[in-house]
Amino acid sequence: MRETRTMRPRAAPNRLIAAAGLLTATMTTVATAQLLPGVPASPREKGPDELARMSLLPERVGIPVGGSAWVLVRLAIEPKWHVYWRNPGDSGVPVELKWTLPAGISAGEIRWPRPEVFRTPYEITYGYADEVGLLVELKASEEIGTGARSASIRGDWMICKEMCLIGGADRTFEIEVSGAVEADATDSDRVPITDSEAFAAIARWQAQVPVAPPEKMKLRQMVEFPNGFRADANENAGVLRLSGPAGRFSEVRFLPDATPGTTYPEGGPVEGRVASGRFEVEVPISVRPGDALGEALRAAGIVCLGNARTDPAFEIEVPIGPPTAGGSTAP
Amino acid sequence: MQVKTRLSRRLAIAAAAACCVSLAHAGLVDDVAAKAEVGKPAPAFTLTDTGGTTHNLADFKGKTVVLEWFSPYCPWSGGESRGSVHRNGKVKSLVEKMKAVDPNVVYVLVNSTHQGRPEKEIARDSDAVLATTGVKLPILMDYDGTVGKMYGAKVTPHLYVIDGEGVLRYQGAFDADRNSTDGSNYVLEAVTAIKNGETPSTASTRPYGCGVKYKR
Repeated sequence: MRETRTMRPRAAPNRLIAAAGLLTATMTTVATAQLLPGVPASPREKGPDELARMSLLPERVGIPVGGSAWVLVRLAIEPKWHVYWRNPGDSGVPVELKWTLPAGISAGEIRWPRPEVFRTPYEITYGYADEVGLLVELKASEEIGTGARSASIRGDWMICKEMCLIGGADRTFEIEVSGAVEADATDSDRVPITDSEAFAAIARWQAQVPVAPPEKMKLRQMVEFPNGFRADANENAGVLRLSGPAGRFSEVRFLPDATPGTTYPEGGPVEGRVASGRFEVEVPISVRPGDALGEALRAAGIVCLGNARTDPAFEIEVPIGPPTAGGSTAP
Repeated sequence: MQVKTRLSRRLAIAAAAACCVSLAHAGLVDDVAAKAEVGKPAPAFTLTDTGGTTHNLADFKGKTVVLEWFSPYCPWSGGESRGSVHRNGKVKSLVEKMKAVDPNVVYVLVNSTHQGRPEKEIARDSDAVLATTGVKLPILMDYDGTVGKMYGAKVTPHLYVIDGEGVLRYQGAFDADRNSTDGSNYVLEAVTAIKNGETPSTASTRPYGCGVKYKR
């Protein structure tokens, strides 16, 4: 099997760059939302297809047989409007992507960049203003044949300023499956770069995606139930405790995920403290096993250092299960 | 009609205020209104609908009551969009299915929208939405937001199911899948469980929708 693969031609990045320049993906936009009743339409007002414009980078995705490639779904957002993170907060709905892919190609989960916090007199929400890039990994199976195929993506979003609209768009694009790469290939061989603009944009947004805490960071994440945890209890009061090195940052906050059965304090992100180069965040949680909707109970979210979109942020996830000695659970 | 509306609203505020003051004394709340809690008696209210009829929660004793927080401007609620549960047929389907399970079920909309607009305009826009959907439902006006805050209504649509004893049995999302037109439905499950003398298995979910634009 391996021998068969090594005999196939390697991906030819240079040739693909040239191809990308000659071929342009077919782009179609479908506006699906309309203005609200009672809001007079005027020539100055933009519809939701203009309030957020979706584009795909690269427009021609090169994937080796059995390999993968990153795709960036970019939304250019009208000033003062915003779309929502995977946990929208007090209100809102996350951006949703639906892929229609040829057999043998699959799409991974959205990698969400670190969101901004929006505060209004009514609510606190999480999302993105101006521009957001959502990264998705496309994978090709080992059995797929080489060649070009067409694919499409449907994006749906709720976009708000003082009022909210539902928008969406469709894009079609091309996937070029190339021969498998050699086992000893470098990363740049594995992911053929077909478009330098796409490469730069993907790198820029990848840098904003919260990562799993690296081993050497020794980030501690645990949930404690001072009064114990009972799966048959209506409600268990607990604390999610996070601590780790703060580097040069003096600010730290936790942004919760939407986790069925586990709720976090109202009023937005939970601020932590930094002392002697270490951060600590204590997040009071309430766990109602009956509200888990069949999912495994967990406390999850991201812990963010500093204030900039590009400052470090780490994925947090602590499963909540039967109590261990000491009444706490840790990963 | 106008006098009656204003008077009943004053009564509602008085009733709501009385409730919250007593709760505050009991040490259950600090400075904000008490949030409705599943498994506990639902907060009492008196509100007047857009047609001028007054509704008191106690009037529905013995019947299952579904409250749906509503806004004529939110695209997931009454706003003109494919996501609107009123315009895309989801509410019609839910009401029909609930009536088949329990013909006595009461389904009312509560409108806590203020958004700096006159109340009359909001009531008129709300009636206009319902005129297009083929389902006639009372729209209870909560212009001051007192009842919405008491229930902790965050978004439109945010749903609450109250049993015949006045106990809150479900709060949360309209349904499990905002993209479906007829998906799994927490509210129908709650109404069915109550009808069968059971406790709904899903009691609390995260609602989706637009934030309620309360009076500031």
